[in-house]
Amino acid sequence: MKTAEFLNELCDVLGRDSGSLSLEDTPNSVKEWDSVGHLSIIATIDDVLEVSVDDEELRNFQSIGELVERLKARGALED
Amino acid sequence: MMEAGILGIACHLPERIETNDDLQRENPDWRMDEIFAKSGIRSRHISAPEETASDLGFEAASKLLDREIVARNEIDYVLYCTQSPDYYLPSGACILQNRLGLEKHIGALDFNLGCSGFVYGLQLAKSLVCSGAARNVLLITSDTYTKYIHPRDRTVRTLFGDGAAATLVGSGASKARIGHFVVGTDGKGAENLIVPQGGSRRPKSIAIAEEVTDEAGCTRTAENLYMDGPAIFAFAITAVPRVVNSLLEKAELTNDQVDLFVYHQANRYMLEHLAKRGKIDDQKMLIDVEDIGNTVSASIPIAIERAMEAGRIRNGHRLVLVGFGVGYSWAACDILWDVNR
Repeated sequence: MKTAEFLNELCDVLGRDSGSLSLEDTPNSVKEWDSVGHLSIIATIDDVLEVSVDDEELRNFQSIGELVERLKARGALED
Repeated sequence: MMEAGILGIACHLPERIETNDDLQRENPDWRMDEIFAKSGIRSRHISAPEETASDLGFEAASKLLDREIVARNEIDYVLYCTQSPDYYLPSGACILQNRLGLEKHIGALDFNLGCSGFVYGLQLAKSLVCSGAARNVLLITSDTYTKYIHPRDRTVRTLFGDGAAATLVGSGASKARIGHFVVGTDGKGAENLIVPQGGSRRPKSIAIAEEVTDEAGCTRTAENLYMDGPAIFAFAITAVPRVVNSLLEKAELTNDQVDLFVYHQANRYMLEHLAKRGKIDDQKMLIDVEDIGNTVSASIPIAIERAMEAGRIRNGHRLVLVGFGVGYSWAACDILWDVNR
């Protein structure tokens, strides 16, 4: 999946407008990214990407950029 | 080969109910509406300070025995599953044998598992019945996690409730036949759902344990229940679909042949995600958490009992039960419901 497409999936699950998440975003900059929002992000990874979320690096991430980088390293995301 | 079945289930919930409104009043900073939208839990039952898991288990077992499905002297084994024991020793099962007025020549033992405990208990009970070691087994699953919960820990206080179930397993003619099992364990997840202090590894402190508030604003001490929510969620959504697939393969069943999936009632969000992930029709995924929350090892039998009363389980129905959680530990089994009630 393309990174932009994945970010839009995250916008959708967090209840934000399409295109409103960037690689710089963190739980501090995104009001919907609370502990429940974090579970929604994990659920989305599980739903749309072929990668096991039972991997510490894929559930403990502090920014969208960090998550995207780790997903790319696992071959689950393209540019 | 000899068969074993569930002959009856009875449940008991403590009297006091704690609602989301109660929690909201006590914690104005908690966004209870948003939490409810995900958890699906509006209230939960809380044991009284002097009321233990074995007390709840006793009430559930008494209700079941009063139905006289079998006589008390035909029960040859008590299996008691709890993570909230009355004492380090003796075993709660011994205390329950005496309180319930069961025979003295029977076996009684505790086993320590959480949300997977009921399915493990069924496997142990089935094995005892099918090996001829016991005619009937009384399986009691009961927990009072709320006693471990810090009142300011939103991640667990909003989810867990106390409750008990007693299940009679035997070889009687009228029964819900217990089928196949698939079990699993991964102790690497031990630290993600734990009461860190109070056992032998880290004995209870003489001083009052220190309160720590984490970055999410949740307060707890090392003697309280700690749950890493994202870790448990990630474990469950990975492990559960796999164990269900293995079970269906072993039982030579397809998804369509299952009438009702009764998973450990963790919370609505988790169950809905598991339904979606497993391509399980909404109608076939039992979700019953709204007024009891997550009752740990009692959640599956409580859900079954309530579904039976609501007419959702009928004769000829094929059920798949899945327990998963603390340990990590998980187990699944299939049941062919054929009880003439």
